[in-house]
This record gives sequence, C-alpha cells and structure tokens, in this order.
Amino acid sequence: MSNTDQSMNILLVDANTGRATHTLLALRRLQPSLKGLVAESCRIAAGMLRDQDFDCAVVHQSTADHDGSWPINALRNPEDLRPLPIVVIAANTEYSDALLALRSGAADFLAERTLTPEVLLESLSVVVYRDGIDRAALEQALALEQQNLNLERRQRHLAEAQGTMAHDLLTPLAAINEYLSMVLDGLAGDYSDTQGRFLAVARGRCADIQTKIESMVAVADGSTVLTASEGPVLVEQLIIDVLDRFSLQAAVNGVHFGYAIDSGIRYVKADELLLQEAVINLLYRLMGACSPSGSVLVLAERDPDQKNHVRLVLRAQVNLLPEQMTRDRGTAPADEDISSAALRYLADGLLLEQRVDNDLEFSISLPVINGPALETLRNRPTGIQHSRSHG
Amino acid sequence: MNNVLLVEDDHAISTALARRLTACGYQVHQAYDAVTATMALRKNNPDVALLDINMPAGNAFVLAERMKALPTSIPYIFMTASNEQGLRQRALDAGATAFLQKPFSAQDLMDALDQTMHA
Repeated sequence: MSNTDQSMNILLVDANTGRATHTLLALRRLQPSLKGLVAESCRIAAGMLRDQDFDCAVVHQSTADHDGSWPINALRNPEDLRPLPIVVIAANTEYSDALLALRSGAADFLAERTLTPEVLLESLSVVVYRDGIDRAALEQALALEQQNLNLERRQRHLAEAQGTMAHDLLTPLAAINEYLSMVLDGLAGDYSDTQGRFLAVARGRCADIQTKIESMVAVADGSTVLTASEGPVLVEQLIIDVLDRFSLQAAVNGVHFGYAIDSGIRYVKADELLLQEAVINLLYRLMGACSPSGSVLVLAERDPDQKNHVRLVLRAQVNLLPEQMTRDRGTAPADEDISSAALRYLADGLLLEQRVDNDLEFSISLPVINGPALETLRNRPTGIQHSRSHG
Repeated sequence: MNNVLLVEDDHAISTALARRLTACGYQVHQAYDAVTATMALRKNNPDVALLDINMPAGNAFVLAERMKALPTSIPYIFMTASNEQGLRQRALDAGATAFLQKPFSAQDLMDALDQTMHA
C-alpha cells in the first residue's frame, strides 16, 4: 500500500466522468506520482476495487446508481477488517449531509463549492497517511491477538501433556504400591520382621516418588508460580496500567474505555503481578466479546457482600448470544478456558462471569489494606475516561 | 451385595485389586476394556462397578451412560491416575458414587465400596 511520499493510487467515482477526469488531471499536475482511475458508478467502482488495490476512493455524492442507500456502503466489502477510506465530495453542503456522510464512515467530507485540487490533495494525503497508521495499528493488534491465541493453545497442549504424563507415571506406581500393600497386609503369606521393614521402606519410597511426580506436574502446570507476594496494590494505578496495555487495540476496534472508582478506595491487598495478569486476562476476553464501538468499563466499588472488601468490576457491552461468542469470537462463555495461574490465585474472590442484558461482567473481590502515602500516579493513558465519586 | 465388576486396562493393577477384593470377601469379575465390560455387565449383573476412567474402546463416562440404560441400577466408582483438572467433579456429575485417585490405599478402596454399598 502506498503513502503520500510514494505513489498514491485513488479511485474517483463520479457520474460525471468528465468532471472526475478533470479532477484527476489537476491532482496529477500537483503530484505527478499520483495514480488514479475513474468510475462512473458505484457498481463499476466496486468491481474495480475487487480487481485492484486503491489507497482511497473519492466519491461524488451524486453518483448515478445511488439508489437511496449511501454510496459509501456500496464500495465497502463487509469482510474487510480495515475498510477503504472514502472521501465524499458534495454539491449540497447541508450540515445534515456532512453528518450523514461522516456517520456512514466517510474519512472526509468536502464541499464542491469551495473545493480546489490543492484542498482535495491535502485531504487525500491526510486520509491516506492516517489510514496507513490505522492499518499498522490493526496489524499490530492482530499480531498480538494471534500471539495470545498461540499462547493459549500451547497452554492447552501443555495441560494435556501433563495429564498424560501424570497418568503414565502414576499407573505403574499404583501397581507397585498395591502389590507392596498386599504383601504387607499378609495376602501373599507370612513374612519376617526384616522383610516387613524392607517392604515398608519400599512403600515409603513409592510415596516419595508419588510426591515428586505430583510436584513435577505442578511445576509444569505453573501452579508453583503461585508463591504470591501480597501487599498493598494501588487500585487506580493498577487500572490505568492495565487499560493502557489495551489502548491501541481499543482505538483500532473503536472500543471506548472508561473507569470509575468510589471515593476513599485506595489500596487492596493482593499480589500485584498476579492481579494485573488476571485483570489483563479478563479484559482480553471482554475485548474479544465487546461489540464494535462498544464500551469496556472498569469499576472499583465497595463490595456490598463483604465488609472491608473492594469489588473490581470489568464490564463490556456484548450484543452476542453466548453460543455466538464461542463460534464467532473464539471466547467461551464458560470459565473453563480461563485457567491461568493468576486467575486460580484469585479463585476465592473471583466471580467468573455474569450476564446482565447485553453486558458481560467479571468481578473480583479484594480485601482493603492500608498503603503508603499516595504518590503521583504514573502516566494516565489518553482517551480513557475516568472518575472518582465523591459520595 | 458383594459382586464387583472391575474394569481396568492395566493388568497388573487389575490383578492386584482383584486379589485384594477377593481377600476381603468380594466376588470379582474383571474386564479390561469398555466392550468386554458391557458384556460383563449384562452377564454378571454386578452390585457395584469399579471403573478406570481411561481405557480402550471407550472411557468410563461412556460406560456409565450404558449402565444407566440397563434395567437395574448399578452404582459405580471411578478411578484414575490422571490429574486432569475438574475430572473429579465431572466423575461425580456423571453419577459416580466415589472417585479414587491412583495410587490409592486399600483403605480408600474399602471406604469407597462401603460408602457405595450402603448408599
């Protein structure tokens, strides 16, 4: 895909092909490297878009086969993750038309009356440049998502391998143990005191091996990482840090982030890294299930069910049925694929999932603790709405 | 009520358990896979079944479903060497009266059988 420093390839869609050709020539005079084609209708333009890559389309509002639906929709392939940027030129410069165009996804809306080739070229340069950034961000987000999926897949394979390993090691051990027990229980006849001591030693060593196998499986399972180091965790800083990690993905998906903290809530007692990992895991799931242009909210409120506890609530607008979530978004409504060590660490305080109307919600209950005097919070990410209640 | 169907694909364990159960007064029928276990269920009409979860030709969950379809209700105990998370709960949800994690002691086995017989 080209950018403004190289050759920009544009498609002009205008029922008046003479006017479009004239515009294209004027743009080329200003930027000789610019390439472009003219289509006299949206139908023809849609065909050209299938055959060739364009950086941007310029659509005249009065395009011939505009049948009442907005011409932008005719040019967009709903399967495209990142739609083609479209600049709309209109003879009619009513405020409502501009609003309609922009709401329909136009990257820019230009009034024909005041339009010059210079203005159009400037608009196209900005739109294409911005689209390049958006595409790069999208690719980055998709790569991150893929990495996360790969990680989840590896974890599942590891868990399966652990199960098999434990089974294969413990089965012969069970046989040895049982035979030793039978002999010790006299089922194979009498034995001397010395034989009995030796058998008891052998059975003790079996128990040792069993413990070691279980430890080994636990290490592989990651559960020994759960040597939690609990201390005061500043709630607002935790939320800011976590949301910051998703800000790029949220911007690309058009997801709105926000958080709110009840007044007086400062610190909770937790292992900061494990809590952060758990919240990231849950937010990742919410992001996957969140409607396009929906919102994800993180709330810190006093737990009505537990005294001296804070409830962290993570909530997303979801307009999918639970069965669709699994099929379409790869996120299971049940808790069975939330199996990271961090979430197990929070098991007692974690309400895994709750659906209220179109909201999907996770909540974590954590004990309040006194912490050090508040320092200035680290970077607050831009574009994230936040509030502290003062009730 | 002392007729036990023992379904275990590991012959060493099966032999040891059978001997243990026999010594404790149980009559034991052994099967080494789900198919022969199904035949043994019909033929021997056991009072209780001891089912290893992982075995050839179908696992204990499949076998438990078949047992539910039989005219007489036969209680069953699941046993396994697998440490798969949630397996115990799945076994109990499937109707097992007890869940034995291998290696288990003779006392665990007797307790599970007593509990099942007197349930």
